[in-house]
Amino acid sequence: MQAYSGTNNTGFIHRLDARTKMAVAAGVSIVVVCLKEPLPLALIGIMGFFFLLSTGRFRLMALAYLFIGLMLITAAGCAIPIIKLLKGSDASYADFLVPFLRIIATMNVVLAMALSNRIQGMLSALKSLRLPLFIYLPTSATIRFIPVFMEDVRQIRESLKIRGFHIGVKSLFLHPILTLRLMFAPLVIRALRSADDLGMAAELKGIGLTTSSTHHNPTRLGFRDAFTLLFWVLLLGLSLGIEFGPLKEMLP
Amino acid sequence: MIRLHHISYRYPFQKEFAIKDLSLSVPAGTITLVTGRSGCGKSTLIRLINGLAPHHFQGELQGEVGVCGSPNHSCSVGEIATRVGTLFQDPESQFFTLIVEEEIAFAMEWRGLPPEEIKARIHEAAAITGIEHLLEHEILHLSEGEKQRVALASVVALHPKVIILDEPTANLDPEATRELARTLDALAARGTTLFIVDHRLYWLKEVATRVVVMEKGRIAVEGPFSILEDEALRKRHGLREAHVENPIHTLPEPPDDSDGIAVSGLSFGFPKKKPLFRDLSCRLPSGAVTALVGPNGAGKTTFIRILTGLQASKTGRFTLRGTSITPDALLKESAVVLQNSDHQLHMKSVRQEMETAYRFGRQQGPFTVEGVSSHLGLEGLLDRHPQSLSGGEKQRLVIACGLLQGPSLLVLDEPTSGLDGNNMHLFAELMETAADAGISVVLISHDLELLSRVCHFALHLKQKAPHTVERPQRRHAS
Amino acid sequence: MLNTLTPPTRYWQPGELIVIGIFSAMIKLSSLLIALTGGGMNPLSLVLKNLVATSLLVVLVFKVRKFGVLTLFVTVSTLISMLLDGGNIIRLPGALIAGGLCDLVIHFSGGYQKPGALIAGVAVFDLLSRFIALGLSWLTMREQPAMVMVASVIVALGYLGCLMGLFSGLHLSRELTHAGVLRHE
Repeated sequence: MQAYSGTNNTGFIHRLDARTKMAVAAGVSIVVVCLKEPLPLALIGIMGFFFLLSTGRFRLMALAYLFIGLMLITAAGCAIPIIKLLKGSDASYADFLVPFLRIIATMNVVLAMALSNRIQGMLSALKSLRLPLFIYLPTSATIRFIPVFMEDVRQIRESLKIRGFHIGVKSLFLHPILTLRLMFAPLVIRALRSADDLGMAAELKGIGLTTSSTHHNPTRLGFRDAFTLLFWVLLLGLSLGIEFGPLKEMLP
Repeated sequence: MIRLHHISYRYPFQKEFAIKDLSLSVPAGTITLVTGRSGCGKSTLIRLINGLAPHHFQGELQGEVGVCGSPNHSCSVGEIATRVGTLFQDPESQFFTLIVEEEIAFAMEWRGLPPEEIKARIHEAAAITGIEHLLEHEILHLSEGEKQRVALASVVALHPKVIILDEPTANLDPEATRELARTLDALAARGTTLFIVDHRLYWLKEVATRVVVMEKGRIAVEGPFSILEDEALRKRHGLREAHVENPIHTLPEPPDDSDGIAVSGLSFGFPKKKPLFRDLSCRLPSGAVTALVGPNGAGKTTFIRILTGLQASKTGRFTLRGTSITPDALLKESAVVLQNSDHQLHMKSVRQEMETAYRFGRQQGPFTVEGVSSHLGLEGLLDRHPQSLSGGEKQRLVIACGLLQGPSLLVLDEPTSGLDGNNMHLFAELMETAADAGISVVLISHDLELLSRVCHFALHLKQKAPHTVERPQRRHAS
Repeated sequence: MLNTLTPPTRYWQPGELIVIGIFSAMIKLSSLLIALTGGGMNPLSLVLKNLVATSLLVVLVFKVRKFGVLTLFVTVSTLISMLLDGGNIIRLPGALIAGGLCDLVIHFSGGYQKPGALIAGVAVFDLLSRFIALGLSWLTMREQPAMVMVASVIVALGYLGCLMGLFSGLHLSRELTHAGVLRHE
């Protein structure tokens, strides 16, 4: 994930405001649930795929597709005996298409957002959403601590490796409780201590003296954002039109 | 500016008062250094001034604390924070964002300052602390010294009348420490009152207006910096040295004929980065403590990671006591003590922690759980939870676990940051014990007193063209 | 200007908000870590990942004993999922309802000072969240109910981990309190 990796890209999608990508993901998530015809779902899925391609993170894309493909095949593999049991010789597998298209269409846009958002960009986006302090402060603490915990995990794994204990699939199967204890006990302690320290730091900086904040460097939606939002509104409108409205005759 | 009048304070559920009938007056624009052995009440004094005690920690307070003429008891911590800024020992523990400029702006934004004023204050604070060039950088990628300056800038930008600094040099290298002293001097010249609590004393010699030595919750001695010249006084109160010479350039290089671990022909660099080592050859003698020194970015951590088998390297030949050894085998021969002991404590009791270290280790060597715990003064703590120990006790436990692994190489990364003089000397003795057992002990530290006290050799890693450097003088024989 | 500020009456203290945020990060990363180590569809890692997540959630409610803690946690967690790993925004309303209901469960089953009430609240929260997740699965896969049945088995397996996590979370909270690390806000 871009957010986890912290790498820097300057392509079209990377320069979109995080709020735009959130709006696109939210719109697609809601519309695909309403649709049940393959054609409009495929249309959203294909456009979403190009949206995802523009992140340029081909390796991660391939991995995500591989993962979701494996999951869907496993789920379908388990579902087929149930279908046979329920319907016998009348079993039809065509009904897999629509759920799969919904999953792929949603995955494309949310993955595009996850692969192109940078952590600091997310903090700015959160700030620009004008969230109240009681939502902004914990959310920003979560984002701020994700890279810190990833580094902690690396350090703990390495210090255990030096002690002679290798954390991996084998240890997880052979000594699950010990593995969890060795890995997570220091992390929980770290979390509690960091929370105490940062809580005190917040008090000592006078955070919470006012209920609203100012923004010294506000992010503004630009032409790219307007274009992207307009494009997706038209596309989702078209898809809904094909299924429910005047374009219904386009369907086979 | 700061006035404490007959203060006594006791934490909740404690019998003893942490501060006992203490009175202190600090004039505006001065730099006051407060020092004393661990547990003498320095941290509580800070908490009384910034309002955390009793507002956050609760407890019982007698007497009156006032800053800029306002009594603390009638204000919230947030209100006191408009007059008093606090800088923590670990700057990372007070960061809320990931970019320098955003961090400096954060508290001002949540205090509702106008955007134009915030921008002006960011640039002013960055100029005072010398971080204008870092404003757009990611905080996590900065050096410890830079992080400290960012944390200070975020405090300075709030325009407090008083700034409290809690162990500000614990993680800093000598250059960053000197830089911090210069910045604090400049702030005092602008009228800011600085109240510094630290175990390290030497760096404030030129700038401290007054020194306060505490003992058991009371002020034992106060006066100018020159009172710390008295060795008897320092010893009496468990203090560190008032003057410290940098020993790095006087320590000899490890001799070529020493046994222990030898590295030859090591070349290494990360992809798309300049090479860190070219054909590096060096030795880490057994039975001695070797300081690994070099500027930030010289590759000290990478070198240790390669040496302990954590970082794969295609080049380099390693030998242990004259026998060739693979990086995988080196991993089994190594123990590392990290600066953050919390990362290395996993179990429910001190005994379990030590037994687990022994079980996962080589289960050979001179150390046993009973022997090590008795030698390191841990025998009375065996049933305690490791997380309930004090900082010095945790460090001792972590080094005990390292010894129980039965290693041939023991690496210690900044083991004494935040320790007082007594604990630092105790730690030095532990390292000598490890060396006496025939272990190659490698120390990475900015603690000049510890380096002076315990190291036999120095291995220099230089930026760009790393190699070991022959040094003329030899202080200790192994 | 700053000296004239009067602190507003705050229900949430900054320290409490930060604990909720940090535990959201921990729960997210620990699930990811176990899934990456043991494989996402592996039954053991499925159980273990839910065990760890529930244990951490129990520690969180033991630390921040205040009405609304689960609602706020779930809000933050859903927002973060949406931004970081592509969590679906349509989960938010259901998650908010689950969090709110479980805060009510704790409130009416003895309050936030009673460990039993806290455990009951987390147990119901885990159950409700999974029902809501299944409801969303049904919305996505309604044309093929057999797939929803498969999802139900996976969710049930996950809930088994949650039930175990309630006990390990209680045990961990007691241990941390004994060590002096866990003091509730």
